Amino acid sequence: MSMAAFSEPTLSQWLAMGGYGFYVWSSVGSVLAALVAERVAVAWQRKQRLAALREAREAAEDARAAQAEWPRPGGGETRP
Amino acid sequence: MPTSQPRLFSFNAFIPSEHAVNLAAFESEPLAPPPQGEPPARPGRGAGWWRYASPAAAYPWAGALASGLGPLGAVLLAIGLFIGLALAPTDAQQGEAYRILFVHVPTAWLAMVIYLAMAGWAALGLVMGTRLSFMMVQALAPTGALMAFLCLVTGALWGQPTWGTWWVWDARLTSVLILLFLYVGYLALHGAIEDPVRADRAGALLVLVGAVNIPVIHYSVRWWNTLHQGASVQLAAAPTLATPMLLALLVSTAGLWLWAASVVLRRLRNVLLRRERHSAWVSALPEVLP
Repeated sequence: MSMAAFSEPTLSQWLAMGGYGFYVWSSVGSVLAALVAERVAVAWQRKQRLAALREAREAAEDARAAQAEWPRPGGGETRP
Repeated sequence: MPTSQPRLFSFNAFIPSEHAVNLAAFESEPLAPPPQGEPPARPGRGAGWWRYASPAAAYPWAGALASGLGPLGAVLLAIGLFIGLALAPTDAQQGEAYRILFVHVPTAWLAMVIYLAMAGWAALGLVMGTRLSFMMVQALAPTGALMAFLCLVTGALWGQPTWGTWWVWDARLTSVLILLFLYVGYLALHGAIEDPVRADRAGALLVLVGAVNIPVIHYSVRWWNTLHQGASVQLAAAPTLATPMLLALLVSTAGLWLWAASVVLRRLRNVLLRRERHSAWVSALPEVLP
């Protein structure tokens, strides 16, 4: 047996995975892509939740401010 | 002389809002001191742990844990995959195709462990009425479903070159498919019921009933004559894998689990923000301030 059989595999040989490259790299790639996508989805969900909370907080503060202004000097008799 | 002691936790944090108890009526009556000769209750042990189950307390610790576990999990996963894909020797029977094991087995284990965790939290929620338990179930389910799906996808990609087919109605494969259906069923059921208390309870019951599928998955390769291979790693027996393969499998499993724990904790914070949005502690969060 020649010494070439014991030499380090080249990058292309390693990527080929002995002819199973499609199956191996598809498996690894799909798992890694799904993990990253899940993490991004959770971060996006958090962003949405915080935006909704800020909006609700601002609406509540606006309502409180409008309530504090009432009754206006010389204003109408009934609340809107 | 009896002295008042600070309350370690609020009962109202663990029960549905409509069953909340007005504890103010009991405020004026101080707690009785412990009888002579018995050691006083020590903070941090026993009932003290319950304070961490309060949604307001869980939000910061979930964030702190998630921030630490995520990077650690990513590093371990990268190391495990590097050992498995580049350093571990070629398998004598399957050649290089066996390297799918380093993503397939961790996702399969995690899919089962997450379901068991969901069943544990569901049981705790039903027995103790703790809201955080149901929120944990809700936060775990999407990650569990994803892991079950990835287990099936990577299994199909492994089955094609080794068995000559993407799918067979084998006991192991079918029981994992049922696990995926259980996850999807929980998510659909929980999402379909508007009242969160009823949704929690119905979902918890489904999770508990479906837990019977976990031992079926585990023992399917023993109970039935299946195409799927037996377990390579068992707690009670020596592993059949070479040391570098075993090392890569264990490190990548640890990495994936830590990463998943980080994502689940982040999702738990999102669930807390949504379900506690009317609480004062949510309004006072610095990230909510404009």
